[in-house]
Amino acid sequence: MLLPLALMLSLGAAPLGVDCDGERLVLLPFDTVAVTRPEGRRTEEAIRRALARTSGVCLEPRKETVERLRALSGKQGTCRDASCQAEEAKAFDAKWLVRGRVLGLGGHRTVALMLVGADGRELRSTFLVPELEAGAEEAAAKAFASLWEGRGPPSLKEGADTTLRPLPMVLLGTGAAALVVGVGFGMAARATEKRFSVGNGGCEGEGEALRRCFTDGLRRGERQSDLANGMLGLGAVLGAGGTILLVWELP
Amino acid sequence: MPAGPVWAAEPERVSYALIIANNASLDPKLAALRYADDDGARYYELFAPQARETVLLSVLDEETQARHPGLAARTRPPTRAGLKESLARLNAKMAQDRKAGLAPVLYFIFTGHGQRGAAGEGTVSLLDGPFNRSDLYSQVITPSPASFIHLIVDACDSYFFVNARGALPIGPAQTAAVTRHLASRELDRYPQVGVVLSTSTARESHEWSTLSAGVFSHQVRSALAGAADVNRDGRVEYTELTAFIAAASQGIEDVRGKLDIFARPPPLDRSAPLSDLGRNSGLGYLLVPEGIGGRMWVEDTRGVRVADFNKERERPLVLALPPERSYYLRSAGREARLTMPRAGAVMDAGGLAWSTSVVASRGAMEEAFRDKLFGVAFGPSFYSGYVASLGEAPVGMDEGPDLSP
Repeated sequence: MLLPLALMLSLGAAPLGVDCDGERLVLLPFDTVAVTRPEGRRTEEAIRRALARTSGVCLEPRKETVERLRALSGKQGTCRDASCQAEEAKAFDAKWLVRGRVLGLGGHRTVALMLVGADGRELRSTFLVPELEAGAEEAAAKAFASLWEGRGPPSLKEGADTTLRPLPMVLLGTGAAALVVGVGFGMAARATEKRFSVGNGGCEGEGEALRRCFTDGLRRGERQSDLANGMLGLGAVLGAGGTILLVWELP
Repeated sequence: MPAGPVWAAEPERVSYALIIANNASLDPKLAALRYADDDGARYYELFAPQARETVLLSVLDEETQARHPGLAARTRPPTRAGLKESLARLNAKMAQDRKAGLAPVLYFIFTGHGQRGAAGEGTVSLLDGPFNRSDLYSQVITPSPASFIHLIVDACDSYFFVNARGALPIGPAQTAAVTRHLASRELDRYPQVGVVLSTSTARESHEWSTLSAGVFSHQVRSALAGAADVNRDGRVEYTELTAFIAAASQGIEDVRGKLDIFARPPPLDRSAPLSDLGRNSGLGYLLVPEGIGGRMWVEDTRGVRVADFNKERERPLVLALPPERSYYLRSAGREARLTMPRAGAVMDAGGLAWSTSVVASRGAMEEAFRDKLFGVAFGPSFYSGYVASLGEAPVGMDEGPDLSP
């Protein structure tokens, strides 16, 4: 667990790519099968260029990724479960990790890409790489775009978007206030009821004056009771609405 | 700037495969084999998508014809005449290739019964008579214009089989005998020839019903499909194949299940690949990435077991598979279905959905094979140790990703 922290400290406290307005992505150096290293590197560079121009992506420079890899030497695992992959993404201080492999099979060049999220989720894609470098970049852009779009709603990933939206909070706050007011009126109605049921409710005198005082007191109690019920109902509705919206928008 | 050495461009290799698969025995005391024709059919399906021409000389039995529909129409009987005619045609094509500046490679594959003839010469059984070692040299090797010839023979010698079918081996060690035999005779005069021989005593004892194939031939095909490519360069060299088979057979203690093999790369180029996944071919490819490991096998939806392997989790593996069909990638207790859509396609097994499965087998040998065959993981560690123990030069190992800035 200390490894990511140590890495952060060793590479400077400020997260990389702070000037970039997008999700932080680390592209790991590509592995190869049946392809020479220089060929693999050329393909990786083409894909790196394609990723760099994807909107909403902040791609870590290769030099820094290599430094992190060297610092991790041997600790980088080959795990498949989500928690372990999430740890790896954390170790690279990345929102997204892209692993790739260039394969020279059957006379063609193919790239297998894997996009790993900070939550350990993975998405995979393979695509044929055209001979020409520009074609490779285009093919990579297309393949990565499908992965990028398939990663889920942006609100689930973007740190800035994890702040709660105002509407559910306003609803919840108003609902809570309505409930408090409702409880207040309820207590007042209860007190009024108690006053009139065990005594004269503070009314004095006789005849018409006493009856009017009694009638006014009872009406006041009924209004308090109606207000309490109304406010409690409103509070419940607003609270329920706010809760539903909140749950809906939670990551 | 001084000019470096100028190397001639390596000519493009084109391959041809001549597969002879014969269940029948010429010796009435020997029972016919069950799966030699299945082995032939599977070699055909492996080579046909990548070779310029693949010839299968075999009489497929009913079961094999049902498993491989349409293949019987492309076979010829494994007779001397059929072999001669096929060789003549392939030789003519390879001669043309040579003229065109190409490097033809011939795979001569035999699977079936083998015997030692009256004169002490090893023979293999064709449908209409024996085909002996002199025939091999005079009719196959000497006249061949191939730049390289790979001989793959899965047969036994009856000298070591005189007691009873399936009996324990008696007499001198088969491997040593074959080595002496080969070394003392003509093979050294043909540096373009490499050999991979199963020298076990009783071929039929090494047929496994679960595979519906001979164990040695199945191991060879698994290796050639890419499972033996230890350094991930896409090529399977002789040392990789022999180390793969050694690892696959490592755990088998029952002597009836032990495989003896003899392999010698072509002295002309000891690194000549038996298989090259990088070459143009009509095959598809299954990438089994890091994180998936252990004993696994690939079976197609016809029930044909295509390849077995025991993979280290830390390294990826690529298997070449015939395209346009569906497969199951299986391991103990679970399986994942995949479809290889077309030639050249790469399927990433990391994205497959796995479900539980049950695999059953019975019998002592069944259990020995089931539990022990491919019981040892094959990877750089096993390979390095194995090759070092043989004193062979290892293949250059993969250095991993380029970490230069």
